[in-house]
Amino acid sequence: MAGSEAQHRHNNGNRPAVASSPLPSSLNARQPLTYVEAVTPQLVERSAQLAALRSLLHDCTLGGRLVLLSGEAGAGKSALVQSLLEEQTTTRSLVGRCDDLFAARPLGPIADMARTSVGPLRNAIGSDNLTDTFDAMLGELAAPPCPVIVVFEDVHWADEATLDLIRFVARRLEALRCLMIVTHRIELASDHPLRRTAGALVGPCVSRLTVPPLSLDAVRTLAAGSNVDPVELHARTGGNAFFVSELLAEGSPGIPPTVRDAILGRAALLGRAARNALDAAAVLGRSAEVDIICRVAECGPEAIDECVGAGLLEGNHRVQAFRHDLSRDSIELALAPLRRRALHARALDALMDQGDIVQLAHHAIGAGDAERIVDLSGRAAKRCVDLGAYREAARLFGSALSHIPANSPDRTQLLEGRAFTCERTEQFDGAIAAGEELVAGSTDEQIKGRWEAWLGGVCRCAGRREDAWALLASSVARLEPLGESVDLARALGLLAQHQMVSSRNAAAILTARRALPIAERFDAEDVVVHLLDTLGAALACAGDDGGIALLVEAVDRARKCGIHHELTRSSENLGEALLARHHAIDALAYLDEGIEVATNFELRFSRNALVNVRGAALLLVGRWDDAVASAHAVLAEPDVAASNRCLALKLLGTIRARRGDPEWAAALDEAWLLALPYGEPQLQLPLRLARAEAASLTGDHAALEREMRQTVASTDGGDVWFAGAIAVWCRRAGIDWEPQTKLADQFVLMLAGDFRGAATIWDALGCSYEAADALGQSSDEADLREALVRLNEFNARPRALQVTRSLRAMGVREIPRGPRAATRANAAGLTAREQEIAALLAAGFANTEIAARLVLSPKTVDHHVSSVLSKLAVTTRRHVARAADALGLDLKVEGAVGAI
Amino acid sequence: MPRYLVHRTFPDGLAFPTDTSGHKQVDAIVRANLDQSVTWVHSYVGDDDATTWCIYDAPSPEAIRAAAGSTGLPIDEIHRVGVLDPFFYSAPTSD
Repeated sequence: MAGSEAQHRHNNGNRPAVASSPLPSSLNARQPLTYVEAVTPQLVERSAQLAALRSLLHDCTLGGRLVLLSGEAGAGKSALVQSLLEEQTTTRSLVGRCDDLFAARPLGPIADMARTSVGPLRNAIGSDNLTDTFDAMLGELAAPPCPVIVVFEDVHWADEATLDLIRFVARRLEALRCLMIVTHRIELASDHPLRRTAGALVGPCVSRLTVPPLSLDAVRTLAAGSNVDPVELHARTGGNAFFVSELLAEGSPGIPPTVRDAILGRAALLGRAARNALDAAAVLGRSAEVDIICRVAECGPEAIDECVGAGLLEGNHRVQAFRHDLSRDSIELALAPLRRRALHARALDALMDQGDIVQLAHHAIGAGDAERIVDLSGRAAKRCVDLGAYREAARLFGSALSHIPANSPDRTQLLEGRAFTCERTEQFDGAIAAGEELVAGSTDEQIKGRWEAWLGGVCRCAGRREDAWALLASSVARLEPLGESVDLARALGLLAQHQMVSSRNAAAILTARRALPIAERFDAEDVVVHLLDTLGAALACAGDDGGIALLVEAVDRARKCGIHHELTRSSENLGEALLARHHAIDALAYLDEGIEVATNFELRFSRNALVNVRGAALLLVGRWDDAVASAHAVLAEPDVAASNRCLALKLLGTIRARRGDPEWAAALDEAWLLALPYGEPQLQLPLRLARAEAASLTGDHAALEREMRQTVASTDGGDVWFAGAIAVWCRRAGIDWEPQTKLADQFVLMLAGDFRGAATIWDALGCSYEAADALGQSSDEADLREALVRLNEFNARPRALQVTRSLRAMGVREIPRGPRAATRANAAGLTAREQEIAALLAAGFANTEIAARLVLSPKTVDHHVSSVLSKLAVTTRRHVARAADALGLDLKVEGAVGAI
Repeated sequence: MPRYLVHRTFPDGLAFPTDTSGHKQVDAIVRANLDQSVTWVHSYVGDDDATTWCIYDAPSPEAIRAAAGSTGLPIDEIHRVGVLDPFFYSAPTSD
């Protein structure tokens, strides 16, 4: 929203007024207004940042560099970039700015760059094909002379297409010889799309640079020679470079209470024509063409010269821009509402035959011209959709809708656009409002049913479960009598999905089976894949292994058809189904593919969900360090969905409890609070089991018993995949509980007291900690001794101490103390098995040969190999020998190497 | 950043001579810690020269473990700790 930031600053300016100036402020009126000019001769306290930019420019001859330059509004980001460009006059540069429009101009900065370009970019602009524009940008950057400095200014106002382009170029930096500077304000709303972009921009080519507020010393330097008290000035401006230079330009301690008033005071000195020009320029945006300003203000070019003379505008004979956003904001905010509308209306007329459609829509909205808002916003929205700028499109559809009459025949099309763009950008309230109107507004039963189903799906995502049930049931009831259709198959598919995630597996299976032949008859591949996924997941949850095959098929078909969101959803379901069966190593392969697709297509929620399932798989195969890293990666992301944060905390809490590390309780407690509103057994039940395990590890038997009693009370015994764990933990808590379903073999053996047998199964599954934990429950001394050694390999101190106590209670002497005996023997912390495998790797054996030699399954070997590589911190097996050497590890292959 | 007390046992004893070799050892540890944003504040060494209680600033217990993974230092236990200083409990002044 234009000017909101200026408003905010205004409110912060409530400090006591100071004695008025001994000098009339008009004496300084000709002094330049902004930081850019005021301090360019002595860009104070920016030498470190300038040096960093210079050094990056130097480095970029080896490979492109991207620097994210952030700072608060007025910190002097533009000034810093400007002074770099001024000292590097021989280096080619491209500069594009983003403007604070109602909806951002798609690819606005690229249009700016194209204007000064003589390369491929010049011809590409105006093309409707996004790929052409992206390619042209690459071509422009790759063309000599190199290096080139490319600047995207103020990307906090950028449209999504521009953000996409920045990411696109960033991924290809290594091949380019450019220094890309992206400047943005540091204060961003939590859902600002830039946060996501900035989060995705990582890697060795990317650096971040902040332009901090000025220190008191810097303010002192700037204030030298004036009669302003630097301490007071620093306190009042918070060190904001623009404010400081601004207030200094006033030249007296008698400054007005806000900078805004300072700017308005300056503007007030202008003659009538110049003031009109300034107001027109403010309405036109950060920069505008001179003849347009003149037409809107109905003035001659000399009026603009006056604004330039007053230090408010800068530019050339063709284009003029405000020296600073804050000045534009202040001028625009001060316009009387009717005057602003009139100026927007004139801007609209002046630009009508040449302006960008999105810019025209902006002025139509400002002018409050209903008829033209509907036309222009609608067209602008469609243009934004074409360019992938869905957030802008949703906003423009919204503005068109608020001005189109309720009975207009064009309304439906706008509502559809609004519904899809809101859903796509996860603005569920907007999507639901549009969907509801589409349902209510249609008289055609087929269309009504179609939108009801769509709305039901959106309600489910938005957490409105009851609304989703009602809508999906109503949709199916409406569509069924009309005969089979893709709409009916899709509605049934959404219903099945809702049933599945609500743990009504039997119902989900029936619904999906009914819908599948219909979708296949109509060749609706996306619906088929969705149904296969839902059916597979429901079957797998209900304990039917046929579900796994269906999920694999869903993954394959989604991959073949390039349906990315289905591919990630099915690989998540498949990973979970495999994990429920403790096939963690198989799960990892599918999860990796899903994570890659989710990362490439920026499906952020899916990505975090998949990373959490992967973390759980890593925990199960004993790669705790990797599991911890994946949990921390999810927790470090901004605005993670509650369910994803909950799962990451559960993982972290479990590992901390097993290691005896602090803060396990804080992690599990927060996870529990996050899980509460979901009420889903999939989220709460495993969390209760994690809390039970942690209670047991801390020796708090009362808490263990309490947790398991609540677990038993909250389950109907039909949770096939948790029943084994529930039964085992109930036994450990001393509670009698009969599972209602068949248990996996390892749990049956544990309940029967055959802990060695259970451990063998756990080991075959690659679940080493579970195996050691099972052995630790045995009453056989050899079992307990093995458990102790293996628990120590994990640094699992609490459980190791429990096993030690069991051994002592049996009267066993000479119990090995601590993990030193096994793991600590080598610097990398390799276990005995890993050391054996590292030796074979160093000797050049392939995984299959190692598997044959050690009588292990190839998958288990794969897992050990990854673990060895990760512990030695190398990425390929070829470097194992060298890394082992560096750590002083003595890797000896037992037996003759040539024997195989 | 949270503060932690890390209890370590060195079965073969530990020695950080105050010469170049000691400096090298300490420097290597400090560098490895840096990768994990872990700061070694200082340590108390038991008179057996085999037990240490080390004060660390770190973002999480996992970061301390990761740093120990690359420095090869043993960890017995990690505790999250706060500071209590008698200095702040001096007798109230008369006003």
